[in-house]
Amino acid sequence: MKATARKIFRYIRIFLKFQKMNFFQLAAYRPGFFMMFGSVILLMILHIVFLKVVFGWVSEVKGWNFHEALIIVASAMIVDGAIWVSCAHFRVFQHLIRKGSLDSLLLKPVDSQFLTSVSRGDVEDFPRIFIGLILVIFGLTNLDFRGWELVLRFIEYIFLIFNACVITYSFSLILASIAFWTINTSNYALSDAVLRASQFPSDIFSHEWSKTLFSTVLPIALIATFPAKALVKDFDWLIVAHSTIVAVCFFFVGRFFFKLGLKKYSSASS
Amino acid sequence: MRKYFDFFKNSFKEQLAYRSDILMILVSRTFSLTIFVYLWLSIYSQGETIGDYALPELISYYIFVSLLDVTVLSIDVGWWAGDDIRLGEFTNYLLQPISYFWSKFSGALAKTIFNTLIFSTAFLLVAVFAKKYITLPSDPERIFAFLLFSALAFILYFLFSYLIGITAFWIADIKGLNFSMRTVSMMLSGGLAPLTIFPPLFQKIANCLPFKYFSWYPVALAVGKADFSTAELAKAAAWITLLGICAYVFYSMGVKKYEGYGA
Repeated sequence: MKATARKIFRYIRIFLKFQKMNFFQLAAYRPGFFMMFGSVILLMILHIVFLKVVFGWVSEVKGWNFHEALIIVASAMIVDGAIWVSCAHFRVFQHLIRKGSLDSLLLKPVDSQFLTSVSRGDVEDFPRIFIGLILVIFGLTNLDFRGWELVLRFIEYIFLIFNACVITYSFSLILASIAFWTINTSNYALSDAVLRASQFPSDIFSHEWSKTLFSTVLPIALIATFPAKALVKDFDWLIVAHSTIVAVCFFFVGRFFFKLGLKKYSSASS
Repeated sequence: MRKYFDFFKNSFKEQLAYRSDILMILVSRTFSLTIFVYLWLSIYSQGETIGDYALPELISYYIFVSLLDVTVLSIDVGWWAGDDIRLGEFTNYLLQPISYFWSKFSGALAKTIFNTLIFSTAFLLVAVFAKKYITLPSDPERIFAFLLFSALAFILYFLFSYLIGITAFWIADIKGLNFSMRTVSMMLSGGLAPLTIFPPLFQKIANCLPFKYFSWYPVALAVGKADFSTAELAKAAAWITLLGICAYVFYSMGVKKYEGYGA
């Protein structure tokens, strides 16, 4: 027990050290850092503008009004932001595979998946989380939930957001690991597309097969719609169970894929 | 001329070498497109409409936008140039009897032609299977206008991206600027939604800027939401000239400032 706790603290320390190093690295190019910071805010504005334009023409989309849909967009922002801030690297480690320079991370006496994931975090993406939280609060103030009901719903929401982060991370890791076989660098495009798609209510998928597909194998619905549903629609523990099962499955499949890919890694630059 | 043809050939071969990249881009674009189609289908199934767009027109709009996005707007020259300057690799270009601008242009052109060949085939397949939802331009004039403005979009986008790239002479790391400008251009080019469904003030701003020639105007020509106009052609040509002059002037100024430190 003591050894496990010590190990966990060690990993937290490593994670924080990397975060600190990344911040110093970014601060070395201050204009670039601030522009990146600004560009992330711009991108968030773009998402809201798009939503506003759509709701300028329609009053609701499949039962979601503007404020409820805003919470979906905000949830996707929070998940996206959390991934970029904590472990941006795993999305782009295909570049290291192509260059054959992943060795520097693999040779350290720390879990390879952990190190590959957290060795770079993009601090400039923090506005995604911040703006996302503000939008959730803004959306909630325009809806009719108060007191304990709101607190309970918020706890469930936080839990589902955590699951969404695990699912997004693992899904992207599976895609990124394909690069061990194909040596390509565009796998992140699909994980980005999945994240972008999660900003729309998953109720837009009218076919039964698409509903199943997008809440299991391509887990769009679980990233933002499920947490938002828990917060503003029906309070349903089945959603929590579904999301947790999928998150656990994705985590282990992601780890399995990464380990399998590592066996294939030849360290040869191509 | 021959040396730039070599750049062209190398760039083309590079695209061929990483075929799985193309496949992944194709999959992710098709996926994004499917999501948008679902979104508009669900809105139109509620009996609502977006602007003056019928459902097939709106879906066609997104298909054409995606096509332009993965072909003429897919090459991020700004990123290449920014890295060359920041990492000091630009020195190699200075020491050789070649033009930096034309070498990058040849490389971008090759990748664009390669992507056009691949993605247009995929696009035609989609068009055949989803005839019900797609409005294709039928008269030759409209097709010609679309192709002409797509070519202009490539040149305009190249110049715009190149200009962002060479700001690395002054600010070293251009990732933030590049990302910002891509976001702004996505919003103002109609990449997210047709410009005519945005509020009037937004449309006025977009009309004063060159971004609408990246996506909106060529696609509006293709789906029949705009007619070919020589005034628009002149405006696009004027933007190309202006950006071309800016690229030349800023490059000349930047080279004097370049220290080759490889930061």
